[in-house]
Amino acid sequence: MSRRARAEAFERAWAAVAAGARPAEVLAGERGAAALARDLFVAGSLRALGAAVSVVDLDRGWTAIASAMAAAPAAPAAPPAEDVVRPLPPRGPAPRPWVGLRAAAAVTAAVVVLAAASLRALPGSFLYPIRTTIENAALAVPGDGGLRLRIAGARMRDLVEVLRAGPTGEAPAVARSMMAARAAARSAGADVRGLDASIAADVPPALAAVPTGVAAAVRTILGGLLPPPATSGSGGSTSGSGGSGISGSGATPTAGSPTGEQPSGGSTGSDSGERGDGGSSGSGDEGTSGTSGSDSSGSGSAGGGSTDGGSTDGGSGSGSGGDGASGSGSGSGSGGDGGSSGGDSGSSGSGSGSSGGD
Amino acid sequence: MLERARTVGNPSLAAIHPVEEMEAASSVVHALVERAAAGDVDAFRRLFDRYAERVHRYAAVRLARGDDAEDALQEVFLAVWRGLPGFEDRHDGAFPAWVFGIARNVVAGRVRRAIRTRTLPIEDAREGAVEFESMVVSRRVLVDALERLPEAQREVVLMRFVAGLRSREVAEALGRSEAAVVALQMRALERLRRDLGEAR
Repeated sequence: MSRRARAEAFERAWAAVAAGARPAEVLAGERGAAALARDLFVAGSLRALGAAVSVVDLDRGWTAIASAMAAAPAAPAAPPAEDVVRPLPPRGPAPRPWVGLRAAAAVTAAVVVLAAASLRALPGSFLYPIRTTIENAALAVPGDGGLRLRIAGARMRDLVEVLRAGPTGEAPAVARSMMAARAAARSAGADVRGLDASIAADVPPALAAVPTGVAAAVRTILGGLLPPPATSGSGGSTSGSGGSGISGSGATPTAGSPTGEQPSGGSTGSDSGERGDGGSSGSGDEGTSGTSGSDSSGSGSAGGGSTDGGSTDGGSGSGSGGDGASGSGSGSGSGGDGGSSGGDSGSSGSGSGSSGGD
Repeated sequence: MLERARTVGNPSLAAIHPVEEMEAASSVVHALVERAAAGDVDAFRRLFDRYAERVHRYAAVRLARGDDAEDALQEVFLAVWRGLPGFEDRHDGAFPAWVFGIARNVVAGRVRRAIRTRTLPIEDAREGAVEFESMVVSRRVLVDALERLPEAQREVVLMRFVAGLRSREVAEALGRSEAAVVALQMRALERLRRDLGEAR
């Protein structure tokens, strides 16, 4: 017997039993009578259970209700709005008072988790807008210059990261965001000199690797916070030039092996004092090492951003140098000789040279 | 009052669950509901007399303690009284379904509070036996089996067999379709049958 047929048979039998018939009579000749009899026994036991409940004293119950009704004499014609129990709709889901609270708690938890996760988000991540929204909200809190300065620092690190690892297209927006945070910190009385120094030191090297359009846009946004880009480069086969400055540095070229045995590519020298010579680099076809330029007190050190590339001709290199508060120059050469780079003038300078050998 | 007298004086099964009487009296109920909604206390008293016993049985089986069931009964009918002006008695059986929908919420609230305050009774009231057609089952066993049912199944069999509502009324009180109620009922009976069979 199917479940539906059994249910229908049960309903028929139960209606008869409820009307006073005996189960044995009702089930006579019924298919599946044994199973139906067991169902009827369970249903009948439940009914007997209800009947076994002590009979309520209706008069006493009514007296209690009537006194409560008297306390609200206007009911039901004009019941107080807050006391009205709305009738249940004829159909529809049963009320679930906890569903709303649970949903709200779940949403809150999700927001908290998302916000926490977004605090480490980098530009390009879908969480980054959440992070910036949170930080912008923090910026709206008046008076906390330290917090604003930390946010500006975080944006500066974001900028460097996005310049190095991409997506570089995000860089101008991040730069603008950093400047806004810096301005907020400054207006709140924070000392931004440390931040400015970090910007001047960290951003230019990162700019070297990005497309010129992006670099130009970032430079425009950051304005005077960055040292001017190197404006000239000179180089020859053997030397790079550098500007003068307090210090300058040039980097050892990273690669270059003109003959496969001996690297070429100039090492660079840096300068100090009033004048420093940028490291020259270059090597001959034979793979001689490049010369390094130095002056009496200069020393070579890590090279920095590049502005000019090396020449493509063998035996030649180019170097660049710049002037300004900080400068960087780099040179690279391909083909025969390494490029050269020059140090810069200004408070700091760097140059790098790289070469490739034939 | 007639129903109460018959229930007390003649506990025959047919008298306890006057299903046909309910159907025949639906127009009477409708008229009483209209009058009570307009503020007629006497009409409301007659509605109370008609349904209080079944609401009390339903509450008593769920709450187990008699005074809790009586308190729940009063709470239910006060809510009914206050809600009557907004109630629409659209069809036969709508009023008892609405009353039991309120009763379900009231009893469920009391059960929750009792669980929170650890005052669910573990008392002697469940002892004893219930008998149907010369077959006897321990009351405690039956109540325990009921409590092991999923809530939806338990509500269905309580309203259907303890309180004596029709399937349609149970469906309306629980906000389910009649087919769903019948399916829940059959599953509940099957499970109870199994549990009681194991217990015997």
